Amino acid sequence: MSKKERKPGKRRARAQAAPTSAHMDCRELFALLSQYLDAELKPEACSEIERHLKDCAPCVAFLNTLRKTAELCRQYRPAEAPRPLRQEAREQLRAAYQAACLSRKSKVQGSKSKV
Amino acid sequence: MEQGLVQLVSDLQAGERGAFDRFVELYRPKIFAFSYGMCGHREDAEDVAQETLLQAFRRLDTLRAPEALNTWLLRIARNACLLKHRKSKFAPEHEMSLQELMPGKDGEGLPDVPDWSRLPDEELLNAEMGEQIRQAIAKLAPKYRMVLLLRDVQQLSTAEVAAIVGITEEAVKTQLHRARLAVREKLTRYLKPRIAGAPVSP
Ligand SMILES: [Zn+2]
Repeated sequence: MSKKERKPGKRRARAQAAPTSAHMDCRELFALLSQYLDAELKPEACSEIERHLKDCAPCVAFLNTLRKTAELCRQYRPAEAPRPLRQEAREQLRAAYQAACLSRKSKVQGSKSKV
Repeated sequence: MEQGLVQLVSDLQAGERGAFDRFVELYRPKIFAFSYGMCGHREDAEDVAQETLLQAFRRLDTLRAPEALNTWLLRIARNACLLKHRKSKFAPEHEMSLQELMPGKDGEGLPDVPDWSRLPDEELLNAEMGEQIRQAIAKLAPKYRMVLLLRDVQQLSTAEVAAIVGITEEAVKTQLHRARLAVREKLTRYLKPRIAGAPVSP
């Protein structure tokens, strides 16, 4: 949109040349659908898509099912849960945690004693 | 929630009594949900969760911002998954092209796109569909599966996923789209017979 040089008087024919995508076709739209659903597209691209959707039933059906797919994935939770933590595994974690606390404490004290 | 999280992280880093148990109780299942999605086996997923927590405690110092806890943990979990799977045989990485994910044509050469999105919830949210979704996600090549799990299942932002996986936001968008397309395709194959005779709702 923002051309740096704009020479007055010299109206370029380019202004009338077809915009890069006169009409977005199904294939182009297909590539953008997730970004469209996630509101990650610029407004111009969105209105291009919406214009296409007005009279393309297969793309509407495709968009609907893709939207539903993402929705189902968001709601999906694995049926399996982890088994309770075994005692030795918990001890292993606690040891790592306590070691981290100790080294942190000594660092804090080290920096304090310097002041 | 956010307040609780900040408190939990500061308690944990300060060595407060009880913080360790609360943290493990809360985050082990969350890490498991991700690692189970990636590994597909409960045992492997539990191993990854354990390894992740272990690494997290060892590096507790490196967590500066409590609100980054989730992404910090998932980055560790992601690396633990990769390590785990370097040892076992992982499905070979298969690049999915948009072309192969385009809908097929019906007998008359028109795109064949059955719209199952308006099936009632009883048909879409039951245990059988849960299993279909699980399988569809499990069949994705690892890099697509990872992005879909993080972005859609864990509901992280594009930027967060990019940071966890170590790829650009553009790559996250591209891979997420292909992953969703592949899952949609699987679900469509499963659901198509259910809407075959049904009248199309307006
Ligand atoms: Zn179309």
